Amino acid sequence: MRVEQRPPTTSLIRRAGRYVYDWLEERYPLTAMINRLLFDPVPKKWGWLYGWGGALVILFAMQIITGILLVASYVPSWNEAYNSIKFIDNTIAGGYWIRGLHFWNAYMILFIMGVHIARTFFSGAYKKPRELTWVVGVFIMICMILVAYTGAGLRMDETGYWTIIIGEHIAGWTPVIGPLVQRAWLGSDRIGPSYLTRTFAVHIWILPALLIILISIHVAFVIIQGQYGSWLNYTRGDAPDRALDALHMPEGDERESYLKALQEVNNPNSRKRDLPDDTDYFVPEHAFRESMIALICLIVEIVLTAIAFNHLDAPADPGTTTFVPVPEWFMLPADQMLPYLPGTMVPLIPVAFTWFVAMLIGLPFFDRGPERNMFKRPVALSTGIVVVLSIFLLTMLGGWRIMSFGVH
Amino acid sequence: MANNISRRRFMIGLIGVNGLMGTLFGIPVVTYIVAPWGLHQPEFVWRRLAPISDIPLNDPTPFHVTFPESGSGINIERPATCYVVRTGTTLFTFNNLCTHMGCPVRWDTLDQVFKCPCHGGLYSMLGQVIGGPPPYALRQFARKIVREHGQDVLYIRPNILD
Repeated sequence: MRVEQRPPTTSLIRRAGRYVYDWLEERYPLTAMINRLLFDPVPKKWGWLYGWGGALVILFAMQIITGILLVASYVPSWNEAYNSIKFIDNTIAGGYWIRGLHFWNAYMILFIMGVHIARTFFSGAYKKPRELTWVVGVFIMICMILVAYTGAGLRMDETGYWTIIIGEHIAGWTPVIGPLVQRAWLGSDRIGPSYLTRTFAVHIWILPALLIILISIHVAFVIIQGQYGSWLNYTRGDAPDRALDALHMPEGDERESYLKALQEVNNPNSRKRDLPDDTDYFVPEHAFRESMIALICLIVEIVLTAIAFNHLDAPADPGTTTFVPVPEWFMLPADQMLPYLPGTMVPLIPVAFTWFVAMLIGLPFFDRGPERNMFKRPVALSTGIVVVLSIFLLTMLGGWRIMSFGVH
Repeated sequence: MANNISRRRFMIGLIGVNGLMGTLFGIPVVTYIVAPWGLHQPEFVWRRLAPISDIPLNDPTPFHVTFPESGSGINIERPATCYVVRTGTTLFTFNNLCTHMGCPVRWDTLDQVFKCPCHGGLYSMLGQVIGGPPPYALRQFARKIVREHGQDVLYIRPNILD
């Protein structure tokens, strides 16, 4: 805002604020950054579909904060870990809540991430020009699953211990590099205290650092390219996609609506010349949507922490003969496929995982059609529905199978 | 701005110097992660189970023992379970970890099988796979029999993978 256009003011706070603003403005492009970041246009209709990614950022920040608090009290030692967790739960003021929030927030993030991935897939947002955003997102998904998985192992209760044992065996089954990976994870060739300290290092440092870097890149890509939405959000076809605009290549059915919206954008008398009618500014409407999703998640987590006891079984007993290991719920689809795979084909499991991830990464590169309307992409739509339904089905089946073990 | 630097000088300067630094730095890093060859593990120890005559015939009997492990400056006693099966002619000392994914296997007296709770693996009383995904028969601890006070006593010791 140019200084000459400002009305005079006598309020001390306002003058102080203006002083700070001008001080920064003389050194950094503050106004340009505010206009670009805070007043970025986002879709108005069905805008709630686009808020899940931002809600994930907020939830992830909550996870980091609760994690830092927990790591101040947790002892990553084979004999002491379980007791330190009981100490956190019972003795530290608020410890039960912090650990409960950390625990339930982890599951919430995985669930919301699934919704976000499904939304991105069905709305075709992985297509040109957003392929790299999708690829970075796949790596974020892998890191999130791994970080939740290693976190479970740090509890050193029965469930966590056996989860890690199973994971360590699957890693060992990888052809060629299996024993090497197993050795790197265990820190020796036998299961001992080293595996706990290494899992701890992975969970609190390696994966969070990777996640922060990847999420920053992911969000930067989204902001740079803009979220203009798709056919679902606009009544007159797609709005001008700013990224496509930069490439000067409106494609497919978008060309007409692109030209119409371009007229409005180029009209110097339009008050919202950067903002077609069907969009909102990021602040406050879209930020409100994202915060609202995160707030609802937080309330659900508080309720769950209050009514569901923080997950902590008996202390880990590597020689147990009574415990039935239950995989983490997000691992159930994979786990449910294991009983049907003959033992000699187990080395195929890591190969299959790698293949699945390669398919996900390669999705934007072999689905290159410009059409983003979900109902005009029958192959993508049916594949997506089949995948989502099978994940649900495998989870249910896996849960039922585990719960009915030992029932004659 | 074009420096007319030769390709060789560019490569040596940029990749050579940084490559050398990366290699020198990488050697201890990779060694630390992958190969604690100098790590001194405690020797495998023998654990006394029971006199053989005290073990019932044709009935897998679990024995809970602990073996010393060390790592990260800590010495612990890691629990393990050994199922001893004594038939008329043979003696088995099974490690109760499943050969599929390492889950704890348990003997079911009603069904007379070893069951693995994770993926439905089934082993016979002699440790052979009779159902489910496990690829190999149950592994066994190394064992020795020591004569004590006129009795044959069974001792077990872990193998490298236990």
